[in-house]
Amino acid sequence: MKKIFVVLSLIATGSMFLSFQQKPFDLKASMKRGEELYISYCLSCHMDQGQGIENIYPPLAKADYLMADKNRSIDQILRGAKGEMTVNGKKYDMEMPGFDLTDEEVSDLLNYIRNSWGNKGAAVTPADVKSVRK
Amino acid sequence: MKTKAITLSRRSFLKVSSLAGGGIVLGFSTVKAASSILDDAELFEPNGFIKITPDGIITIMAPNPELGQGVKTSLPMIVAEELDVDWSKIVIEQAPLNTEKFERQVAGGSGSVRSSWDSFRKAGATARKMLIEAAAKKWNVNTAECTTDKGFVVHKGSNKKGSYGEFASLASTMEIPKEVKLKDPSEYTIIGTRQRNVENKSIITGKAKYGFDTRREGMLFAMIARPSFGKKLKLFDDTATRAVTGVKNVVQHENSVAVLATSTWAAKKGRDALKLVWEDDGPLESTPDYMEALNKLIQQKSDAPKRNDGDVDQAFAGAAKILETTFEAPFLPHAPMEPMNFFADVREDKADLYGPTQTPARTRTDAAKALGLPESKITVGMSRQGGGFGRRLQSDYSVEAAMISKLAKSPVLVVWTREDDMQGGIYRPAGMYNYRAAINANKELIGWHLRAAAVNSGNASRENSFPAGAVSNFRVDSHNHISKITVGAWRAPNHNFIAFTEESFIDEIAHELGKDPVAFRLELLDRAKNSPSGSVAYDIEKYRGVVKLAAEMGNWGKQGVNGIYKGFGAHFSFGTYVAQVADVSIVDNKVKVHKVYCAVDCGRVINPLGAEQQIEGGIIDGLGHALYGELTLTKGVADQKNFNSYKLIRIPDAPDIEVKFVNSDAHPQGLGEPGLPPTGAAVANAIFAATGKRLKKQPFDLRIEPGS
Amino acid sequence: MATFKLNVNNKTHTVDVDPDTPLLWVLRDTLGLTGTKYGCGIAQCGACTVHLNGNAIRSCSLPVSAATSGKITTIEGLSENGTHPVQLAWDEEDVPQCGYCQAGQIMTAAAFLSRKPNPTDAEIETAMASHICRCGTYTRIKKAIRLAAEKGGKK
Repeated sequence: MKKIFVVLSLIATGSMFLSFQQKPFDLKASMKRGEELYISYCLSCHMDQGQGIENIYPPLAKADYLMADKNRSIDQILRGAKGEMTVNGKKYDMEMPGFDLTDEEVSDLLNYIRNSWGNKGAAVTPADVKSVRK
Repeated sequence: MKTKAITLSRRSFLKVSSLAGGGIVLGFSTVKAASSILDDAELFEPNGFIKITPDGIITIMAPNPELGQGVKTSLPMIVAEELDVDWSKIVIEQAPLNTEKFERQVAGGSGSVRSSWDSFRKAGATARKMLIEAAAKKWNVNTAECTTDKGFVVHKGSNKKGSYGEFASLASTMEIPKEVKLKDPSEYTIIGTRQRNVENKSIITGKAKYGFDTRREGMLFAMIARPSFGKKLKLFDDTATRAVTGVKNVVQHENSVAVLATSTWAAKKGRDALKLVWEDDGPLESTPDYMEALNKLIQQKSDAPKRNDGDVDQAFAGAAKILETTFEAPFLPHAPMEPMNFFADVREDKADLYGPTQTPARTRTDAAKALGLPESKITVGMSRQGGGFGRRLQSDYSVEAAMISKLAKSPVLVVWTREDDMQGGIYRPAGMYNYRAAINANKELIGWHLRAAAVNSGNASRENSFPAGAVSNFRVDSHNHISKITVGAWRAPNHNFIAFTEESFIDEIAHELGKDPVAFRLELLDRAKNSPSGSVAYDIEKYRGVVKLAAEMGNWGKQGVNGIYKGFGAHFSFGTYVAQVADVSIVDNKVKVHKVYCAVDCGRVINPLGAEQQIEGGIIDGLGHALYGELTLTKGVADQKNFNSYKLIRIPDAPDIEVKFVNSDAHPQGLGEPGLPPTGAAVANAIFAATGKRLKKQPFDLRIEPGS
Repeated sequence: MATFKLNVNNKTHTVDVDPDTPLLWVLRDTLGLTGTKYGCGIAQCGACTVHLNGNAIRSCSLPVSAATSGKITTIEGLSENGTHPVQLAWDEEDVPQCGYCQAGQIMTAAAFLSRKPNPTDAEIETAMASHICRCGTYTRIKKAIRLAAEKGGKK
């Protein structure tokens, strides 16, 4: 008899590749997905209420620098940020690495950041991210 | 359980230290590793593998470096089987380098189990025999009437039963038998059973100590500013460095400057504060220069082909059709999760080295040379290791640590940052592989010509790989491009890329001939069997066995069912035959690898659970590097510095994996590497099936035109 | 140098270090808690993950001066004797190979499951995507998190 050892597991869902373009943009759902990403990638520096760390990591909550330019934020998430920046009147100069995220993920993440802790901003769509990525 | 209070001798103290570094207790037993503090006279230590104390503690030494390949579990399983003990009640301890006691303390070439299978079994069986003899002597009975049962010697006639511990002292006085009888495999109770990693408990509680976690009395942390390739140190100013709190010393070693401090962070701040002036030390190359040089080489034949069956020139001259494809491999860093580090305490007349190394003997030899000490005055201990993938086969970082300790006259733990590790590395050589296939008017493969070239790799090819032996005119030329860049073995050296090229090209030929890729491989195997050309360096039946099994597991034959496309890849390396089917689909113009089915023939499987892990890890490693791995050089300096610019596979890309091992009584073979090589090809061939696009370069360019 | 009070694994420690020292090196070099690992120093690999007030954070990128106000939990303090459901699942699924990244993976998985006790596979992937395992134990990590969720839910 042939004795074999088997490892079997379920086929993973391909849900992360679902298309978002056809449906009307659901900001709430996007923010919810973005919160998970925020916890994984951003929280350790920008902290749980987006308050940042004084003099080291800039705040995201009610941050003028953040809300001033949506495309700059997309670019910074994709390619990182380097050099001095002024946020709410204070200067910061730490390097942030770029993150390897999909268009959908960057849009989810920014929708969460731009609409939490007192922030209110227009939705960022995967298409917006795509155009900055190019 | 009684414990003994015994004065520590120098020797037993060393044992305690080594145990503290790597000793573990299996299962949830509360047994302490008291074996370490007993007098030698009471300890039964018939060989380097086994220690049994009078109070019954059985310790099995794991002599080989453990870096995730599971040998700290699988090797002691072999000893424990022949010793006949309860696996859940033994202590396993990492042995330091000892070339007198152990044959091969190396983690490389997937060789730990396959080279030690006989000697480990014999070590266990020898100890068992001596314990039986001691019991027989004590009981005054015939040894032939005694047997063992999980840590006990049993006398059938009198029903006497005693634990190994009871006979330890007496056994230690017995003569070591020259001949021992090994168990019949049908009697195995440990080998072939699923055993979890013996260090799981310490790993999941954060107690496992890696090289980076080494802490010794008076030790300083050191970070080193090293020149990039092609540079040397002109001058440096350490004024600001010495002003950093915690910095204790700055020493220059050749073209590097080491900063020693009381903490890792102080060492890093001190190093950052160095003012360094580098100067050129010869010409520097960039990735495009390498590719140009390699591209020139693969246009040429070599004077001494690695293999030359039949006459390829004639075959190609008479061919009805010639297929030609060139594959490109980038440099890769090893990037183990634990960056390079090593501890060294070098004194006037001796040196103590400790840390993660795949080759402790090489470390000792090279350190002895550098330090000017005899090897007998150097000890090398092995920590648990956060991966290696070939990087820790080198001794640059351990010898460097030894030199820094010597120069600074201090025990030192040299630590590398991720950036140091990625930029100061030793890389998988970049390579180029040009394949041509000659097909005659009857649509038969009559000629195969590979011209391989790589940077500093010696032989860039694996000339006896399948389909060598199955093609009547078969030639392999191999070229070496010499450069200053340091390269070295990277998990499944050469195989890691060669398999992708061979198996992709076979797929391409099969499609050209209008044949099913699996059927085509089986046909080639038939040809290697019935009318071989030249030597055949693989076992045709085993090869055929895994090809058929993988095809069966992966439901080979139907493409596009529910949008799933399948690709096939197989390869023989390190004694093991592996075949894989990859399932991919294209979702929103993106490639998704859903599942990899994998058939393995590695001879007897010692620990099926650990074996599965190794194959799974190899597949994910092979997939990850095929998708993302690329290190580029600009004038000798790596463009990628850390994991933000050097991409490794992450969990969303990891496919499900199903592994089956062919049931086999044959000598066990390698497992740490063979799972990796076929994956790139299986995935690339599936992507071809899905999109019609042939991937010839790693990392894969997966841009798919919408609608394709 | 400056003095900081840290609450680590329910014990208060006073440490005298540079204010910009990342929490990671205070844990490892000052407090001797070497279970938390260094992997990249730029919050990309997750080997250094600890909990700060129950959130999984990257200790390599958090200056010690910013860690004084909260409760810090490291792998050594996740449970008594390694009995957290995530740790048990890691053992049961035999996840570790080299094991170096696993403390960080476990800390993130534990914080994640306390927020989302019954996650979908896609949610598991998102939560764990910020970690790197060079040995490729990902399929087992997924299984272990599913198992921990199952067992945790029954408690």
